[in-house]
Amino acid sequence: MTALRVVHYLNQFFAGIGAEDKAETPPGQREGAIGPGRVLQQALGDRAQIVATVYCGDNHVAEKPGAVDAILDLIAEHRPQIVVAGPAFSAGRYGWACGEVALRARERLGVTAVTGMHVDNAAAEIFRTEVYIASTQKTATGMADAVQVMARLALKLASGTPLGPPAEEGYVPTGRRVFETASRPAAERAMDMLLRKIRGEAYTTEWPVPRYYRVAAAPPVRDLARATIALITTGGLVPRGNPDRLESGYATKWLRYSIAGADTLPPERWQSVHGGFNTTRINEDPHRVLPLDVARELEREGVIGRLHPEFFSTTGNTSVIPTMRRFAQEMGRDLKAAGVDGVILTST
Amino acid sequence: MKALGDNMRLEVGSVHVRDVEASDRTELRDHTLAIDAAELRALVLEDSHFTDVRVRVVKPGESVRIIHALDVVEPRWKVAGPGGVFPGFVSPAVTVGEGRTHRLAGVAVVEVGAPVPGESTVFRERIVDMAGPGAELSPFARTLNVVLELTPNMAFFPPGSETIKDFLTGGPESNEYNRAVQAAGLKVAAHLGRTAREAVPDDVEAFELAPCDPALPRVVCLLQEVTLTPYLYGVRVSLPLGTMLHPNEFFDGAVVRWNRGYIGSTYREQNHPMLIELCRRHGRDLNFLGCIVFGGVTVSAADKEASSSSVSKMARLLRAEAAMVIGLNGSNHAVDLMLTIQKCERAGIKTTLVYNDVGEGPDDPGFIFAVPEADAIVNSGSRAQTVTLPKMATLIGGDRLVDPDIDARGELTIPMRYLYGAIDPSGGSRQTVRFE
Repeated sequence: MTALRVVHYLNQFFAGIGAEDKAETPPGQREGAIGPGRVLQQALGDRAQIVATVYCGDNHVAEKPGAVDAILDLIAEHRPQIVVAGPAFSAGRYGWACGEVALRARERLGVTAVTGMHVDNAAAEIFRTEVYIASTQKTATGMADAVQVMARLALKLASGTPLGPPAEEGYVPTGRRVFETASRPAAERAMDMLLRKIRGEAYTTEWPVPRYYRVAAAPPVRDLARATIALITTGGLVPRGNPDRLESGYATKWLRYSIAGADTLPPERWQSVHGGFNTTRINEDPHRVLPLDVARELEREGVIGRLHPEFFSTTGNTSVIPTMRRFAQEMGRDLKAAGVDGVILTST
Repeated sequence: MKALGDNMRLEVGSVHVRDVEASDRTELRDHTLAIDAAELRALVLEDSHFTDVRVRVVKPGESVRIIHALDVVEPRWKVAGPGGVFPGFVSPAVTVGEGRTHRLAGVAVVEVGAPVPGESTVFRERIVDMAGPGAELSPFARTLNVVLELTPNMAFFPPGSETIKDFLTGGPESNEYNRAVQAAGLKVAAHLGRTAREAVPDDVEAFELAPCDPALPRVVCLLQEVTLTPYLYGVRVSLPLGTMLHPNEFFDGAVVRWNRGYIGSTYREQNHPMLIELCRRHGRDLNFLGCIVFGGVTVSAADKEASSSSVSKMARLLRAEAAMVIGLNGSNHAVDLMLTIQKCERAGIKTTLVYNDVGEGPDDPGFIFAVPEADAIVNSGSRAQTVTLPKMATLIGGDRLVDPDIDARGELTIPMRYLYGAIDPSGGSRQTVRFE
């Protein structure tokens, strides 16, 4: 059996070039394994051979356009079947470089690519859905364990062996779903899990709960009397008859409607199509979900500068989080471009 | 006189029905159920909400697609003991769950109908394919189905009733009509179940939460219902603070599902997989204390605090050491559920949750809300996973789905939540999602 050809990617520090003062180092290469690559080679055993090490300074790769392409050119020269990047532990720029190199090596060169970093590394959140990332400790004291996992993942993936669950294999969860039919119904599996938990025996959840993204609140509006304020609702408010067919749940779109010159939302013209609550009261008086009447009063009284001439609407019911995140980004861009300073967001 | 603390004991006798055939008499002939369609029709038309009903028998493997299925009910009959089946609908609303009940195993009554004026179509659509890939996923493709295609009496829908005032539950006329639809299904199911009143069942299983080894762990089952409240003893009531039920009450049809929502059917309540499993383990692996059913409209954070506090407190009052939790994912009620789990765990009650995935895409964790204490979850399938169903030769219930509004006559690609009974957290499903 011929050993698989591996190229290892490192930053300037782990390649032995130097510390932060050498962070501008352009891409370079060495024959064979160096630094952590030697430990990695031990972990790979005789099934794979590190034929070259490609390195680059952290600042150079992060700042110079085309740096990653140059790195990939060097990697490609060695015709690898596997690219291993890092591990980067909790280093941010290095983590990003490892993720980017691994992802693009797979896409451009069609190779097996793995990297390694701590789960809290910002790059893990960016690349985890695209690249297998060995879950490492925060610092290089975890090097031995990290390269063991990276080697095992690389060899398994290269041979087409399916990976087990993230906790078992030691990689950062990718979020990918595999739909399966279990050998036993849920009731039996749940009973076993509960009894193990009661008895103090080890049990593994089939579905780890997520760590949510926290959105930092924007600073308060400084001068409300000069501010442009917009109204947004997730209460499914639409013109009567729902001409744009906003969904009652699982919304796939958000809509904008003009309120220029309007002081009120008459119930003959507006309704809620939200499917998750009793809409009777809103349909009697749409201001209960979009307070245009009060906002106009505040505008007239000079409490707020002016009301944005459009309101945005969608349905926040059985919503899919990435879709809602996209809505928020699109709305945010739009509001920013229109010079809106603050938003009154009425959820339901 | 019964001894103090005497237990509710219910024997469920199953007659395994192998075929259903048309006849001029409704009766059980050995393992064949003969039905007189004219008689069933007359029974349904006793209620003036209907001007017509077509009774059809549909069998596993037939190239048939049923759409607009509103509920599925298993024929059962109370042979001995207080009350009758489906209390509050076809028998008095007295406490059931004792004595003996016979069931026609393998038979189901399915109510079918298009939306009536003023009826909300949200969460309404439910499909059963009797053959093909859909049949492998829906439990109701494996039953001999007596399908009731109901025609509404439009006199109950005066002008104005077509206005949908509330997208969740629709107008009052449509609500009343839908209750009649369910009552019709229950009446037919009881009538068919009655044919087994003198039959010798193929097997009899006794369900009883008898006193047991005090060393066994004390386990309660928490069952979450949502805003789409079921009927308990014929009463539709929101239960944010929870109420207690004996599992045997489910088996006698005291819980009837409101015919909305992707999840659930009266059939499922009568044959609740998790409750049956807990009963079978009672006295062996655990001490099953009973069920707390909870859920309702909880619009504010205070409501959610009150709901989760009440439910976890009831579990503590029962001195539960552990809780098996059947949860409903996908909306604000997931908060109530997770807070309940958190409060149970903080009170030392160990929990395991059975839950459906509602997420799509690797960035979507599939939880609307979660607490770190929910560390033991069994995934019972994805509501978003799609399935492609080939064209079926016969379509029952109409030509178009109402939510989503698409043609049902040809090949269909739909999320699994529309496939009746396929995605359900009650423990019977083997569908699951593994996260890589």
